[in-house]
Amino acid sequence: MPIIEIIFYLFGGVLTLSALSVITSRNPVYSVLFLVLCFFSAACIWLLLEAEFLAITLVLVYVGAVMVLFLFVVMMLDINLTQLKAGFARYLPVGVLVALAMAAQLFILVWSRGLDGQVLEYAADEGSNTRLLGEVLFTKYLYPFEIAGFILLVAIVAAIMLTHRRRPETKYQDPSQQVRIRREDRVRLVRVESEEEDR
Amino acid sequence: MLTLAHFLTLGAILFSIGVAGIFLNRKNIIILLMSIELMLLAVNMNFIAFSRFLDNMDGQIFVFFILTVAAAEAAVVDDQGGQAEVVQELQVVRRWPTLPALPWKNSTVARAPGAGTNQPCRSTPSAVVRLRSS
Repeated sequence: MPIIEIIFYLFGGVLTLSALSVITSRNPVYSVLFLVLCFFSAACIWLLLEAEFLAITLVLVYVGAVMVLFLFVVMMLDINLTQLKAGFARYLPVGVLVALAMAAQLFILVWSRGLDGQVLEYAADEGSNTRLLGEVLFTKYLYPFEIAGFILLVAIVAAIMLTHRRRPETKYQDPSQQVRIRREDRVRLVRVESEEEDR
Repeated sequence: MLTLAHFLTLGAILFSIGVAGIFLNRKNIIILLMSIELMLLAVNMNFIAFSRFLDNMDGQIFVFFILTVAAAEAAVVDDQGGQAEVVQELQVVRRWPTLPALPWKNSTVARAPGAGTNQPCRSTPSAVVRLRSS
């Protein structure tokens, strides 16, 4: 068995087992940590597929930022474990049934279409994966790239708005009220007769 | 010999596990979100496998955008998820007002108004304020 296959089955097995642990472990903190393991194994499999940039991105962005955010949320909340697992046994049969049916359909589809004809081979050096990705991303997909940046901006604004809390003791300005002010409410014009100057 | 079908099978297994996770963990919005991340990972795996075997970079571009949008979504939903859990805890306190003063370990909800009596409590805003400002 060549080394590539051993690596694939090793990391594929770790990926599957840790994914199962994500959805079955009792403590949400363990779930997050198993999900981190999932992402690491998936990154290794992506390296086998010569998608080096995305593999590194998965580890840096997902494990480094998104999973740490999950871990923050899970650890900050004081979660009652027994209450959260209520309904686990009740939905177990239907969940397993749906998952198995879906997996069976996908297996039949994948293995009956002759997708196993082409074997993974590694050609000679084709150049950097990052360079190839960048060449496509900044020419053909330039507008989607800009839109992705805008989506991130919207996410920043939304996250700040959702968590922003207003302290009652802090003085702040309300721009809508400032704009709504009319001159008549604030200034009273008085006509004053000019007095005659005594001579 | 590794073929495209091997990678697609791995993606199918991951996707099914994600679907099962959504069924099993209905009460916990954080684990629901993690199941969705698993399904996204499966889709990304399929995209990268096809991209490699068809020798076309477009699949990897799609994965790039999926990662971007999923990160944005996780940031927003995590904030809301945290607040949703807090609201859930409050509702439990409301429903059984005769619970002892500190029903959960380290809980910041001291006691909902009307707790300790058999009256169903109507107002929780003071509890909300105490919880959010702590």
